[in-house]
Amino acid sequence: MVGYLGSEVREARERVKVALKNSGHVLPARCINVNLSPANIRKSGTSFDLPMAIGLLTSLEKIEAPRLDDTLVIGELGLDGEIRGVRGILPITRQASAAGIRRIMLPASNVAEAALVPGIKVIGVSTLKEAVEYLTCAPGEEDRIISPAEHVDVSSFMTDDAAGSGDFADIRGQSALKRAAMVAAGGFHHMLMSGPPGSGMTMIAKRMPSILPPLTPDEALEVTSIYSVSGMLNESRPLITTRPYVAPHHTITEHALAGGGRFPRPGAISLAHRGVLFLDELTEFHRGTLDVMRQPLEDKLVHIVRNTGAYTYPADFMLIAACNPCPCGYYPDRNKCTCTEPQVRRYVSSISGPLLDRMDICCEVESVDLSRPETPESETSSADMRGLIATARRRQSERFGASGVRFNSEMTGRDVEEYCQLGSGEQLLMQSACESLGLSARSYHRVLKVARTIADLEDSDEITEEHLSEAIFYRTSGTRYWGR
Amino acid sequence: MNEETYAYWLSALSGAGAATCHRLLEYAGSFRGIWELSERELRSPQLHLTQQRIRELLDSKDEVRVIREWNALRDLGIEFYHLRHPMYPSRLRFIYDAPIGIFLKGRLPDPDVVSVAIVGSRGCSEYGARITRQLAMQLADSGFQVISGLARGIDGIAQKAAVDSGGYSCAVLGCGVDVCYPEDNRDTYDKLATLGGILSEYPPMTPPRSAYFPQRNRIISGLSDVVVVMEAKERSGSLITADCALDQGKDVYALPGRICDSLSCGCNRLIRQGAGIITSPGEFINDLILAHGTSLANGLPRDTGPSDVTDAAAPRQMNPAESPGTDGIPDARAPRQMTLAESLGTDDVERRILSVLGMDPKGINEIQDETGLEVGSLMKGLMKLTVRGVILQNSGRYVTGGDFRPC
Repeated sequence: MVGYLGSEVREARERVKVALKNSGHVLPARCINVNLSPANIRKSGTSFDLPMAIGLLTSLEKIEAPRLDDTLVIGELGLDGEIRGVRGILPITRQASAAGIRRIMLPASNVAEAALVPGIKVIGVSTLKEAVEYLTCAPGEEDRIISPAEHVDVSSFMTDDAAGSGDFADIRGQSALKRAAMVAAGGFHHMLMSGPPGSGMTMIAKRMPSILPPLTPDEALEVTSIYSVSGMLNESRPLITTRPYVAPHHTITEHALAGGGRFPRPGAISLAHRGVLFLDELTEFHRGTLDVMRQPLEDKLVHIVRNTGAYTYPADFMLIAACNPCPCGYYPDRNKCTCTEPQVRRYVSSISGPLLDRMDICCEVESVDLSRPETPESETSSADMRGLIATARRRQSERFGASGVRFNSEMTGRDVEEYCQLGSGEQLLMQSACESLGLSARSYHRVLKVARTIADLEDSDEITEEHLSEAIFYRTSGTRYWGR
Repeated sequence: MNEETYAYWLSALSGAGAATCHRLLEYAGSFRGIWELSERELRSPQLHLTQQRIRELLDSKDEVRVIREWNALRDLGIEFYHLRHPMYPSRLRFIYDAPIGIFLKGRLPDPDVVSVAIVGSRGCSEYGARITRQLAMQLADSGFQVISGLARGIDGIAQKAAVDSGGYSCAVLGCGVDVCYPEDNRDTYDKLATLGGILSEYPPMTPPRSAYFPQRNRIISGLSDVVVVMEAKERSGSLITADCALDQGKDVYALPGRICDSLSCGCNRLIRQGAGIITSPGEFINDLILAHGTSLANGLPRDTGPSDVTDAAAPRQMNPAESPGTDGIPDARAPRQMTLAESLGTDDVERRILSVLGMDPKGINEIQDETGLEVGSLMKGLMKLTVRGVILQNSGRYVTGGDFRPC
């Protein structure tokens, strides 16, 4: 076997030989060369087993070659001839369909995934024998042996349930924080929370997917493709229909976060594509690990280069981060906090400026006053927030149309100038805020984007002083620590 | 070499504490005498010196090096006064454990002017910081000298406020006088070096060490006539200063706080033990004038507001101008005042916000609960007030700006 093979592909030789034998096909006792072309790309994975077996049988003339026209064959073989599922079916099928292939033969366990792609005939096979039977039967009889899977439309899966992630009504108090979370979700802005332990920051983050606008069918396919490549799909759940929520532990490595390995696989930031990446205890992450996110945060893509080639994965996520303000967690409550100023400064300095700069919404969280009367009915629930966010979402899609921008946070400088025009009163406020609070020019644009989102949430065409004030507040409330 | 260089040599020895030096000086009679002590004399049981100390004394007698270092002091603009030098501060000379020599940048406090030490926590609250600033400014305006330790928090704030309003202030450091510690106070350090004084018993280049700081506290209280503790936790270095002051027979004042604030715990305890209580900067200054008035170089205080005069006449009576509610704000229960200019153009929303804000930092949630305002109008009100400087925002919490006036 030749063709720049990974070790699992090289092992296929034994698997294919034994599987063929156990399915009743004896290979002639002579030298057989199998070439996987193009020979300059390294092959990995187990999906070449079935195509090699079928290829061998074709060259031994047990299967007629024309029967395989416009057909993609894929699958791993067991020694008994059983065909097993492989990873990454959805992107492969989409790619195949785009390349003009009309029929795909794949493991039965992957059928549900492939059936999501329109315009391609999906044949699920569970044994090698079955596959050979399908390819050798009388012409026109194929569909009787294995009926092609019916195309399943993506939108039929799209349910509007976000039940698993809990409801914002579970969080008592913290109305300002909830409001900030809603603004973040409304415009897909990154958000940083800083506060004492036990103040509900993790609860807020966990509930974010419940208020984000639902995935569109296209987005669902994108997200599912990533999960397919990572082998994280199962038969019962072939399509990811809710926005992903990925919360890696703070010991995560750079490769696990950005994607990597000798044969790169998507990292946490790609798994959070179109969803929420929650970094709890942000200050405990290695600074280097956090800094790998800088470029993806800007480009919404991550490029990984290994000696096996260059890979690009999408990484358009909403970053929600939470941290304590100091090692003990209680700063600036001087009654409880025992840290010195330099300790506090060192603690927060583990977050680099460029990363902080991308956080449009900064929130100081206070601990919950448990003595307050319990009024769960009056708490804002996810459903209330979803209503407002849907309004903001509608306004944004109307505004941006097909320009490629989906959320206010993605606006370019020109978009900001066009859509975030201020009245004279607002301009005056912005000007005096810039002077008295020391906002930089870069902050200026980001404040405007957030203000636009707040205005959208309230279904307002104009950005008013109220909206602007709130946006400036989100921008400046972290000044004590980071002096930006 | 002369007596001064001999004194410098002794002061620059790393291990010799003030007590050891005093014993040596008493035994040998003069600094030159100490230099000339033989090894046998040093071993005298009267001196009870350790073997290590004796070695140090004998090994350090390098005349060339001492003279070179002495001349280098001049170049650095650092003065050195030993215990018997006429310039040595008389307040300091007679305290127990007086430093054998002091290094100085700038000038010494005027012995004829009343000196007030203002000390307190490094991690101070907004309340402590504000009152300290006001107190130091008013003291400086009234011609008093402010002594402190240039530490983070209260010390630095007090000294900055004092020099910024044109007064004299002297910092006593726990490191060499040419070392600025902490670096945050660089501005104040530079100003003090030219407009005030920086003083230390440790030779130049000595790095800050935790053991030096409690030691320098006795110099802070020694140089002062009154020690004021602004904020102190239960076990605070400021309380060491207060203890030293009591040992040295100085008056101690403390700023009261709420009994549940750990930062006021030490102060409240001092008051319970009989320390003077600071109810307002004006009243405190009146107390000072009553106790030390005649020793004030420039006679009567300058620039003290009319409220101080009223206070002087009837210290326990409240000045009507200071009573809450007169500025037209309903429900003004917090000790918060605005000048007329600031209150102009304040609309209803802003008034409601101001009515719940004081010097206790409050977060958005709390302000919203207490005012019952909508998020939008609340944010707008807060932003407008912040931009005008009427209130201050820090870490998402708000306090009123300007001066606090005691009620």
